[in-house]
Amino acid sequence: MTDNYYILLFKTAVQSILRAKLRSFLTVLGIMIGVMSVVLLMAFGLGIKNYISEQFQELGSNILYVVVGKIDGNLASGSRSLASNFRFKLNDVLSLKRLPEADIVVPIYLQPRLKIQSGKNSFYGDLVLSDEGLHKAYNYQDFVGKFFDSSSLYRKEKVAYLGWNTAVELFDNPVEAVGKTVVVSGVRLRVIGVAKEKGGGSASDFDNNVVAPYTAFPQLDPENNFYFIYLKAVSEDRVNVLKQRVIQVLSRSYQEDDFSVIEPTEMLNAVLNIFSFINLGLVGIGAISLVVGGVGVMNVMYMSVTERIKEIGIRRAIGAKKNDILLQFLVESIILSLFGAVIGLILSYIVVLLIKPYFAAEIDLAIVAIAVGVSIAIGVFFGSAPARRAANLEPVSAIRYE
Amino acid sequence: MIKIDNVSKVYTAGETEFYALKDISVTVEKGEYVAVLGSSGSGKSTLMHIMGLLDKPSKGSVYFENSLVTTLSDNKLSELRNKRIGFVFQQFNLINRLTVYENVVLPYFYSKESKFNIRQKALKLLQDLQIREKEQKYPNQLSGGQQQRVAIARALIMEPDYILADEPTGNLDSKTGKEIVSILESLNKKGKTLIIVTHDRSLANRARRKIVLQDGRLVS
Repeated sequence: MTDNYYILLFKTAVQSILRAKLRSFLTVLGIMIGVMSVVLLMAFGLGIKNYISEQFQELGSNILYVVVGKIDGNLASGSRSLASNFRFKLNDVLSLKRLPEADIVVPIYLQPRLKIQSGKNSFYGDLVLSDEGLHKAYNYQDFVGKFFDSSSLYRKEKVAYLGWNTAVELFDNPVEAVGKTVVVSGVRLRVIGVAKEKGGGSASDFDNNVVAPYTAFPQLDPENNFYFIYLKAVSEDRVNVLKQRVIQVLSRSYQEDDFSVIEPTEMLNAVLNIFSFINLGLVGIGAISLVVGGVGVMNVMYMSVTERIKEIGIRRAIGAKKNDILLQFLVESIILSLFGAVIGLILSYIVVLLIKPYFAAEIDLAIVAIAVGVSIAIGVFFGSAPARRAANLEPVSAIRYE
Repeated sequence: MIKIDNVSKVYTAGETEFYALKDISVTVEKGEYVAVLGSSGSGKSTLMHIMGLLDKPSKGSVYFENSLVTTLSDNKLSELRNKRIGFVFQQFNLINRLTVYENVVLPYFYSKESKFNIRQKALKLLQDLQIREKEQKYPNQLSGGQQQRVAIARALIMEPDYILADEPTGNLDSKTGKEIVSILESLNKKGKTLIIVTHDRSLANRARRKIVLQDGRLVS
């Protein structure tokens, strides 16, 4: 027994939808596909954003990068930086190491995609020349062996610390790598350690690295060709001060456009902004299918109104106002859209679960709220015209309708 | 009191005008039992719709309890129909997707009132009309007589002063029809104004007054 008007309204709407099951299903299908498109695109976007953020977080906090060229926070300037001929010198590094706000200062020379050989095996990895501080800076965990220390640097030892992939590709079993020899750019290096697998990185993929002291490759002249300098501040509240001091020190020798001091969060924001823009565009395209679904809702609601003209007349005769009729059909329209949204959300969630081993897509509360909100809006927008038609029917004409 | 003053109702199809009602003036006093008699097409249903505030005349004035209603807003007219008038139709006009109980209480929901215990009231009405046990059934599960009783219960739920019945026995057998008429007449004895529209002379003769229509005009 229904004693509440709104429960009766809801019940009537659901009954009406269920009365024409096939028609309702086809309408719901349109909304469902639209919601799935939008939700999955947002879920993929969120997964990628989280992945990018995690990668940046792996780099650690209190970090500054001093890179060549001018980077002003947008990704396009990254390519200008790469094209710059400017490089840092060892003296710059030593000057920065003297700053009291700096905990770690590490120079990095990088040559990507070099052939690394050991016996008959070869692998294309990245040569990274640096000092002993890189182990802490890159947060390497030793799988076997150790990283080189300052005495290796001083003695110009030709030693190498391998990333996980490099070791696996050259030696099958990374444990056997220590003590073996690898050849890079004609230089023979003795392997002294292998890092645990890291899984991805920023400018250099850590797992594909061969790291050696910069003094081991005099022919490459790394002391005059460091591509960037990694700094870690003593504490989070000293990061800004360190940034200003670094700019001060380097500005004594160089022009403003020769270098940039960047916090990873700035880079992260720049990347995320561009990504968000692209993702939004894709979601907008996905939303077109929602509009098509909405048109389906409107069509079905017009049919529903026509089928129930007499019923509308009866309701008006017993005292229903125009707004009561409007509300009745709007509720039906909204329930239809919501139904599609709920099924679309459930199916999207299943898809996300299925691809989880391969891709970290994510559906959060905000996405669910957006999907529900948009489907309600679709129900209201596309249901309003048929609902108004129903409300504006003349009672006596409606009640006589056969 | 319902007063129709010089009312006409015209339907236009292209250049052709059809007068469903022409220059009708009628007054029904409160508590009266009136029959509107006429053959098919005489305009009796049109007259009932205008008196019941379901339709507006093309010309003339309609007064409900001495207030001019022809200029009232749609919402106000809906409110009057809801609270002051109860309709009983030839085809019962119940809503098939609602149960008997839900059909009966529907006018109450539209009133947005909370002045009485609706469940108690509805069940009492169904009890008085001897269909209490049918409250959870749907209209298509009832006989014609039972459906008309439900329609009467719905018409009475808001305690209206006026009952307008348009051919209330038209779809019923004679025995059931007599039962329904008896119910309606008992309502009149309790003080409700009863207007019955019918083509059946014998039914019309039971009323205290007859309004006779022919071709949209008042004959007597």
